[in-house]
Formats: sequence, structure tokens, C-alpha cells
Amino acid sequence: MRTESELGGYQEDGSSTWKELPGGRPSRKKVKRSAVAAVFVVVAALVFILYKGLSSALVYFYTAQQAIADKAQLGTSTFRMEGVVVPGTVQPTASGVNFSVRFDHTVVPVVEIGAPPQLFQPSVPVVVVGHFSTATSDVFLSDQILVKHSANYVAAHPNRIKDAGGSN
Amino acid sequence: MNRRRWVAVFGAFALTTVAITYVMGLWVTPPDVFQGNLVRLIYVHPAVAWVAYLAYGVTSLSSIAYLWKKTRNYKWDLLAASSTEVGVVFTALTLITGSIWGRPTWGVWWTWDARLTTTALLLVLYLGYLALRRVTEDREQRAKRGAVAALIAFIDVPIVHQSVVWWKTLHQSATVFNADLNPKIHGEMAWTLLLGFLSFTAVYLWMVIKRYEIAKAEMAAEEQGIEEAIRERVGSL
Amino acid sequence: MNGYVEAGYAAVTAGLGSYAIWLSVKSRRLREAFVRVKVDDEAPKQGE
Repeated sequence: MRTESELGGYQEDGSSTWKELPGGRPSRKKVKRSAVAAVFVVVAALVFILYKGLSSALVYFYTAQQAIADKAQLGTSTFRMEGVVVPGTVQPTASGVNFSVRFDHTVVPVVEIGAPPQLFQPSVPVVVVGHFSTATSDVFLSDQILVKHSANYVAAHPNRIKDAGGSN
Repeated sequence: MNRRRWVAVFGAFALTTVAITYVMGLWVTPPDVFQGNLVRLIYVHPAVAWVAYLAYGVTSLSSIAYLWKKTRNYKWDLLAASSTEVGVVFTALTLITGSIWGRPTWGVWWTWDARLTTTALLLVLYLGYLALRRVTEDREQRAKRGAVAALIAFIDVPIVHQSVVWWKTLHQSATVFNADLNPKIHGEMAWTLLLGFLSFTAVYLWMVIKRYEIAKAEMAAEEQGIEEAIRERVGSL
Repeated sequence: MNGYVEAGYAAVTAGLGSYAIWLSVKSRRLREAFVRVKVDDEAPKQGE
């Protein structure tokens, strides 16, 4: 049991030391109302994220090889295409950059409108967002390049012992 | 040394390890062949994400401990809530650092990719847990509902982790905790990565201890408030 | 070095730092409030 002195109590003037207890928060009703609002915001955010996530999952994600194979079906609809930038094909243009991506043995020419990201360079895996320019053309018109970097990390300056050993 | 001292000393320790991680990550480790200096974000981003998983793991375990009648105690509920709050801070930082890393590497601040979407979902689910706790006034009900909600929210954690495997995504797969446990990072870069994991875990532990103490003090105050109400009705005890 | 790297580290520092400060301040205030209740309660007795 707690003693009275630990609990605080009432002063002679009628005020009480209870009010000095921690937790001098806004009234419970107010707290509750804002909490209910918070729950609504959270639910709305949940719905929004699920909607965006699912609708983005509906934008097909093909490798360059699959895209060419399913070309008849894809037509000029928008999808994401994955491949590696073919070295020697990168040509900056006034509106962006032209290059080709390869997946296995399939090569697809890409016309990108817009600036490529910082890490864009030959031989990197990329995902381009866009569509084939016409139903019969193999040229892919892209409005966004995403660089897909690998999970491998290698020091730019390999240590010198290796150099001395002559393996590099 | 008393308990409060220990907590303070541990906090200082956590701070020191983070400082060392920063020095290693920003200056000592080399730039990456492909990413250049951007690779330095690997020493914070995955570690912060790991702590979020850890925090929600603790939340789940203490929620189970509360729900199980043999171990039922409000302290488990307070620990679950404390760990969630810390976890939410770390999840938000995971999204922020990921976004900062994504802009120069992928080329976008945000994309509705599987890993990113499920992580955003994680943040909102646990914010929902915290909001739900605030709506429920009755302490027992709050603890029970909270525990159930926490366990439901936890379903998303393995989904987030496996998202890079299950779906085609922009996000790279795990560097260290991959299927064959074959790390793709070596030397001082690997050591700094490990130190980052340890230091942010230490920060988590300190934060959860502090938050739990606050929750306990608030509960004590609440209990006294109830006793006050009783006192007013019954007269002097 | 690279604006993005600094921004990332700064975000983590600011986020965790402000939360840590909030925790410290709040726990100290609570502790002091508990002490104050005891002192306030004892004060009139000393005057008696």
C-alpha cells in the first residue's frame, strides 16, 4: 500500500498536489478525439499505400527478352523493362539519351526522354519505364531510367598487398 | 552503481559506437568501384532497417507474453508499446535514408516497388497500433487489443524481408543475410557494416529502456489518479 | 564528399538525436514531478 505522503494530497487552500502529478495532459476527451482522427489518417494511408502498391504491381515488369517475346500482346502499353546497358551504344541526345539494353541474347534499342540518373553508365543493369514506340517497332520509348545496382560492394582502391603480390 | 547510472553509462557507450561507425563509414572506408562515395550509406541504412525489425520482434514477443495467461502482466504491454515507438522512429529513418540513397543511385526519390511499398506499409501499420492504443481507454482492453494488433502487423516483417526475393524489384537483395549466407562485402567495409549493426542495436536498447521507464512512471501516475478518484468517492481511506 | 551521403547521415543523427533528447527530458521531468509531489506534501507538515 502507498502511504498518503507518497500519493500527495489536498492543501489547506483546497488545491491539491494531484495536479502536480506527471501526466498533466489535455483532457481525456480531447486526447481521444485526436486519437480517433489519427486512426482515420492511418487507415487512409494504409488504403493509399495498398492502392499504389497494387496498381504499380499491375504495371508489368518484363526483362528485355520477355518483352520482345510478348510484343504482340504488349502493343504500346506501358511497362517496366529490365536489361543491361550495352557498352558502346550510349549516345546522349538533345532530349535525353539513346542506348540499347540486353537481356540474355535479346537487344532492345531504347530512346530515353529525360536526364538519366547519376550512376547510369555502360554495363549497368537498368529498369526503363515506357512502351514500344509503335505496335510493330522494336524501339522502346522510355521516360524514366532506374539503375538497379547489385548487392556487391568492392573497394575502389584494392589494398596494396594484392598489388605487390602481382595478382592485379 | 545504481540502475539509472548504468543506463546513462550504456547510453554513452551506444553514442560512442555510433560515433566510431560514422568515422569509419565517412572517412576510413574506401569508396566503392561502382557507387563511389554513395556506398557509405550502407553503414547506416541497413542497420537502421534491422533495428526496426528487431524492435517489432520485441513488440511481438512481449505481446505474446501479455496474451499468454501464465505470463500476463501489464509490464509486457508497456514494453511492447515502448519498443513499437522506437521501431517507428527507426522505420521512418529507414525510409528517409533509403530515399536519399535511391535518388542518386536509382534515379528516383521514391518508387512503388515491392520493398519500398511493404516498408511504407510497415510504418503505417505500427503507427496504427500506436493510434489504436490511444483510442482505447480501458487499460486491459488496450493491452489486449494492442497485443493482437501488434501480432497482425508483424506479418508484414517477413514480407518486407523476402520482398526482394519474391517480386521483381529495384532494391538489391541482401548483402550479408542472403540465402547461402555468403557475404558480398569484405574487409574493413564488412567490419564497419557489422559495427553499424551493433551500434544502432545499442542505441535501440538504450532508447527502449528509457521509453519503458517513462511508460512505467506514467502508469504509476495513472494508477495514483485512479486512487484519487476512489478517494473522492469513498472519502478518506 | 557527396551531398546525398551527408544528408543520409544527418537525417539519422537528427532523427535519433531528437528522439533521444525527448526521452531524456521527459524521463527527468517525470522523476522530478514525483519528487515534487512528495516534497509538496511534506512541506505543510514542517510548518506545523
